[in-house]
Amino acid sequence: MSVLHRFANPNRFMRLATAILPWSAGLTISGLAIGLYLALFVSPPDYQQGESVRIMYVHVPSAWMAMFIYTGMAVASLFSIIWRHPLADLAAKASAPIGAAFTFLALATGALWGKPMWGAWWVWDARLTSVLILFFLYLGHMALMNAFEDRERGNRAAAILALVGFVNVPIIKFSVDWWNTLHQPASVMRLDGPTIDPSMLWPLLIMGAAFKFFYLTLLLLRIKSELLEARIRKHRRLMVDAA
Amino acid sequence: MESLTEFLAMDRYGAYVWPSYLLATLIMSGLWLSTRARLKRNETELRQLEHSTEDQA
Repeated sequence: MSVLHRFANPNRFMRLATAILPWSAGLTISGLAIGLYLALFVSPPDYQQGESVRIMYVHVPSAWMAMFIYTGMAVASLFSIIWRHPLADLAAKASAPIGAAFTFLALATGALWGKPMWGAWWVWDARLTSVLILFFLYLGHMALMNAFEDRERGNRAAAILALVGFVNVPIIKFSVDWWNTLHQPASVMRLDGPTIDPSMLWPLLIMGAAFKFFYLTLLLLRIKSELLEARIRKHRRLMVDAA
Repeated sequence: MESLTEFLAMDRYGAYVWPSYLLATLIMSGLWLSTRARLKRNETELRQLEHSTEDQA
């Protein structure tokens, strides 16, 4: 705990962020460049799905981000509620729009993949519906954070929503095993190891890593923004008091 | 030239593959640009406020 509380100090966080940012940005750019090259030019067409399988290299990493970011928000919310870590609310607040954007991307690229493979843009099965619910959870979190005059109450309400909504994450993950669906079962994160060919697994993993570094970069910049906004508010209050 | 046409056609799945990549590009650039713009705006505003409070003091 003490390690985490060290970074509650905004100045210390700013220094750490400044040290990490060039690396996370560099890894994002190189990861995306290598990942896209492998995904579009090197990896083979699928024996069943043909060239449409290339949608996987943006669809699956987006879906991973959708769940990863929400899990991060739930952890941050726990820290906010139990230990009152001052950066936890900022991290959750900074994450929600990024998570919403990736969830939307997963849904949209899923529709673009579903149409040629299943013959439908959308089906109301457990996987697609639970991801749609995840999208609304993100939007709800963003709305709650800004719904209260008292910032603390908004943060608290949003943290509770993030924690309660976390029940949806394992439902998404296991929906393809628990219910009948057109959606493919897991082929990468399985207990018995990936069943996907290395020629497709590598570009997928590299794109997945690039998306994670992209999120880390955005997260650090957005928390920085939140800290600056807190300082701006403080200055404004001082000016009002002085006047 | 033929191979480029072939590449873009994606064996008749081009109409699904390229919009996916385009959408990913748009959404991720949008996130990046809005995050950066907000940070720059806040940095400028804070600098101005710090100046004006210094003037008052």
